[in-house]
Amino acid sequence: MEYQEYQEYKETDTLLRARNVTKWFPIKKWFFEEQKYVRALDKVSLEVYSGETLGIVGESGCGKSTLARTLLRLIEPTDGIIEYKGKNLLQMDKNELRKARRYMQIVFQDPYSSLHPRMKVGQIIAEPLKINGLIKDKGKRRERVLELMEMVGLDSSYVERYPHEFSGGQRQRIVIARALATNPSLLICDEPVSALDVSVRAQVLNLLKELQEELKLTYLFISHDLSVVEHICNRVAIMYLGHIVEIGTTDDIFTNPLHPYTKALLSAIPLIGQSSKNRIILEGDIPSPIDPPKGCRFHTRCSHAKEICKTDIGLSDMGNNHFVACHRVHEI
Amino acid sequence: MNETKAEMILKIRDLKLFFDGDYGTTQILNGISFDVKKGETLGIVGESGCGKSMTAMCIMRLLKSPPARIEGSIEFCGKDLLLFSKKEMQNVRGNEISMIFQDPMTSLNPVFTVGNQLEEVFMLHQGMSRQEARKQTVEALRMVNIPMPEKRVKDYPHQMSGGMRQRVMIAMALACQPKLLIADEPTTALDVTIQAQVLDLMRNLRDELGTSILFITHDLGVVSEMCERAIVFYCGEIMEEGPVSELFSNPKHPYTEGLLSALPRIGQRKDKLYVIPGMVPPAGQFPTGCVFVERCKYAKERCHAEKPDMVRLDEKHTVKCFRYQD
Repeated sequence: MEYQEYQEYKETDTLLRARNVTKWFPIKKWFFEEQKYVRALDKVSLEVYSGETLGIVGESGCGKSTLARTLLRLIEPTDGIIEYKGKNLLQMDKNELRKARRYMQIVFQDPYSSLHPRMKVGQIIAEPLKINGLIKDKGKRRERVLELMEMVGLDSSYVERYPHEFSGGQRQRIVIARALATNPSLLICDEPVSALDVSVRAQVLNLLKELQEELKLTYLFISHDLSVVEHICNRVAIMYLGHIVEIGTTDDIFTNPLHPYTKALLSAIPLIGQSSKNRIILEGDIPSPIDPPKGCRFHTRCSHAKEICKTDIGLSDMGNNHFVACHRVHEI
Repeated sequence: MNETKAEMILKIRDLKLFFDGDYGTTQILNGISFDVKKGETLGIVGESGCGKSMTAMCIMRLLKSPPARIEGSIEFCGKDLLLFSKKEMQNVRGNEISMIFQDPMTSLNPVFTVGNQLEEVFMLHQGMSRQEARKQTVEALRMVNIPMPEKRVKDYPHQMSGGMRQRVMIAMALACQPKLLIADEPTTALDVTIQAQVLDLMRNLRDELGTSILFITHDLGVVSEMCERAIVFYCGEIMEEGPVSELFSNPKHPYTEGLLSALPRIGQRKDKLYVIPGMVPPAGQFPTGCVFVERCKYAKERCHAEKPDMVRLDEKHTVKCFRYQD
């Protein structure tokens, strides 16, 4: 698909649509053994609307990072459909995919390992422009690099420096500048501020918000930190063991959580100036995704679990774009 | 017993830490003084590189000297730990003061079973036989709510989840019923729901055993929940000290104030977060006056030239800032 086609596509305001995306990682097995899988994602469906920030929250191992990578086809899904502006990414060949990825960029958690230590900042930011053949003229490319650096709040005189000369927050700015080089419309942020200190985190969060307004960006924001998610997101999806258990607007999720897991998650956050009373403390650990519980995956730790919870459940509409996957949502 | 006369477990006075290198000396801590009372939980908060973990390492005497050079005094139950010999210190560590580290993955030995590692504590510090130690180990694991402890003692660390490993660390640290427990970011590597479990466990054990805890963390929410009193560190100095409720509702130091407003908080959505201007200076390049001067919105000339003293606002609340000096 050519550049023009992407520009013209305005049919709906759904930018990215995932339908029943499933990813099972095979586990190494002995010859006669039955093949087992890590069920990282199981029939995950979601839509990302143009211009919004969708947060994906969950604990480690729930599949949120796998989801991010699968949506970009950095990991090949086992099953499902991923559409970017109406085109199925999974049916594209290498060349088409490269063209499409120009508009979908990703920022990873660790700014220390996502920058090449032996490339200068200028080279790092220019790389996507080079690869995509967007700006062929060296001088113009340099101009664009400096412009990008200013945009993310880096002094353009640092262009000849190496990544190790920067602090964590500044490195994350370099990563963001690199991601923005190709003028993407969707930016997937995989825990972009988790490795940063409080004061630096505030700077990067503010930067992300400013850039969104300026460049009309759409974010898919993955985090385990609920206070950050509440600050930056319009909609939130809660994941547990490869399933989306609840999805809705930030206000709905935080003031009127419906799924027992969301409730427990929200009550587990230590808050300033609040006592720990009335806390829901979940017992036990997250089950292994190799052999996940049947039916609702949360039933082994849920205090409301009944026999019915052992049967499969999909997301059901609660109105106002609020979906929840719980058998007993009307009773509890 | 009167609060002020409560028994002091730990009394640190004017603690300074230097690292002597080939290219000069770097000062990490500058004049740290604080007390830990019996049975209390004292929080130490600060951003990375502010010296909060180094303070713990000084107390445990875990720094190799040279290059580390420690000045001042660390009185533990009336005796200065800095004057202890290596042997004496070994008796203190694990027995009277113990420590939990941030990363439960790396603080257990991967080639020994969990039971083996816990037994060692009992055998070494309390001179038990292996059979006795095994019994105690099972009890210790039961105390930290590990299901089926008789079976779990035979597990290797990799067979346990992060939360469970941290429970084992807590069991190990509390095995000898120490007077002081230093917890260095004990829940940072854990998920929120698991963090809630571990914090709950630590609170219960503290109340049961009466252990004092020095709780080091960067998470203000956790401090607010666990501690009665907290100290705010910045660039190797104490900026503010006071009861947690007051510190967070009525912060006096510009740094504490900045930290609190830079934090996104649930239920208080704002368009923009406050940003403390500038960056934390690297160790060895701290300003000569007040260490916070370059990032402070109230900074005056005096702040650049002189170091402010700790000002006592009331019985429990102290702050290091010129704004409260006169």
